Amino acid sequence: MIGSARVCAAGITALLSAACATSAGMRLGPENRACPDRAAAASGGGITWYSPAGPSDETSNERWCETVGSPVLERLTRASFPSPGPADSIAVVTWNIWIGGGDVPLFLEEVLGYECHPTSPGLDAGSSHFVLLIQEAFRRSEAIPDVPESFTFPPRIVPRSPPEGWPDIVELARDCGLALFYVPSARNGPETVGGEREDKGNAILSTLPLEDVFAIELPFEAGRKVAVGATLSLTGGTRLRVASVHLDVASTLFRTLTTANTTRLRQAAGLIEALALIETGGVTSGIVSVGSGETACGDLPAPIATVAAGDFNTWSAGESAIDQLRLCFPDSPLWDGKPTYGSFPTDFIFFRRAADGRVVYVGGSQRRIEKRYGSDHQARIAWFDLSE
Amino acid sequence: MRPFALRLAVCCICVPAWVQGGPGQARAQETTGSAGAAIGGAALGAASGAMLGVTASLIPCSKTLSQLPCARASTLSAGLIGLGSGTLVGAWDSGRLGSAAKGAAIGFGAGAAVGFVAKEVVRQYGWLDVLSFGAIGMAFGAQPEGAALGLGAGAFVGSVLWLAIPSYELPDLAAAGLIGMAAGGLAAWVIDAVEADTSGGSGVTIPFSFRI
Repeated sequence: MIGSARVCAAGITALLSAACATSAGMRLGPENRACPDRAAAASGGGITWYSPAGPSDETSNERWCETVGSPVLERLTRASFPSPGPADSIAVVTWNIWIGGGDVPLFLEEVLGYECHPTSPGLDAGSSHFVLLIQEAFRRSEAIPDVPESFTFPPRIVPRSPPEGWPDIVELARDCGLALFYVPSARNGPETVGGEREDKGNAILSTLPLEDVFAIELPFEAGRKVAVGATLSLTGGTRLRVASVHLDVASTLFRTLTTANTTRLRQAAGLIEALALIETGGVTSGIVSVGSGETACGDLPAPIATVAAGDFNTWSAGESAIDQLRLCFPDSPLWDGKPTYGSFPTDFIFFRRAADGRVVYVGGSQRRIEKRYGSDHQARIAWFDLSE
Repeated sequence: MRPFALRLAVCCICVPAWVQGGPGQARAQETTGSAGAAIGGAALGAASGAMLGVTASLIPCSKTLSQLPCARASTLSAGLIGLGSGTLVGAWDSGRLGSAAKGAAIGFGAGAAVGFVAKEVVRQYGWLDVLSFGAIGMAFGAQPEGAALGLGAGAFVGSVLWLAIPSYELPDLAAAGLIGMAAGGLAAWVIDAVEADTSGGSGVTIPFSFRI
């Protein structure tokens, strides 16, 4: 009986003490890492990386990173569009396209009035410039490395009825003449199909050139997640920073129990901290104490207006991760109460104005796109006004 | 408006679960205790209570920014209730404690078996997750009647609220079930402790003294 008492006491101690280990401290660039540096070098450099400071996060992210190919960056569009004017709006869309299952060209045509073409795409008269913040983009390539069989890959996801030709994100950007920033976070299955392997991650497609691109490796929970971001130059020196985000749907049961189910809150805090590091040039950390109810978001500098949007994989719109993001992005559109993945409210758009107030959310403009266009998620769109 | 059929289907699952929980069966009483049994009861009660507390806290606490203090408070208070009740049960009625320990062992095995299946299916699951499933099974199995009754009642109330209130979400329904399970399991521990004390057993004197 005494022996079992010791075992039980040890278990309780582990349970209570492990619940403290939920730090999300972030830092500029991973240290002692081969993978993102190698990937950034292969893509021509110019990507600024941010990663969690914890050694456990670093080890896991490194392992996963070694299984994917290099990021893809096409800073400029293939066609030249007129620059947005001082009275123009810009549309920001977030959409999980389910490994290319979503028909992006059709979406662009019907929702944004944009005709895809490799060299002479057309933006309808009266249509706005836009930026698409995409989750679950995928890419096929022979250059994606072969890795040891000992690695447990996520299973390959194949959309139910992909659009004709099932183009990957690189082909989509090329066929539509858009600027692209894509960073893979994981493999889409271990298979080699037709000599090519697949990886998946977040991407940005835009009618405006992408500057100051960055990648944020989020705290590791169940899989590697990399938020991608860029700055858009609009008009008269006005800039808008955008980030495409995808959080984990669930961690392991052990981790869920021993971290009090803070999976997405920890990743959201990592995102917030990394964006703060970007604003300050790498000197601010620890603004969010995960799950303690303490945050210093009110003190965040805001030289550039920022939109962070994506698939947050939340089971409820009242989750702490969403509340934390709302606190740090106080100018966010109000949620309309509509789910975007079955009955779950997973996709959100968050916004923080800059001190100069030259980019403002057009009140009431955020909405859910009712048609799925072949994806398992519905997109969200919001408009932002530019002013001198 | 959610499809009525979907809501009805959930009720069809929850109501039988509540009924199946049924009233607790009277146990054979041995009415003896020992210091060793009191320590064993304390450990089992604390482990069972803490697991019930942390499981019940997962969803409700994830809706507050003070998620960690919320979960810690739930785990600690439930663990203390289990600790106190288990100590008394062991001190007064080792037969009753043996029954709880047997149920906990069966629950651990059943939970671990579920966990093993989950490990084979879910990519990121490992042996620690098998143990975690086992631990939840242990907490449930130590007080199966109370936990099952609570789970059924909680899920039933949750289902009714889900049917009636559009803003009441599926995770809220799951939370109601888990809170019910924890409340039922803890209530069963307390009832066991009271019954062990009042059943007239020989008991054991626990040598605690307080000086003011």
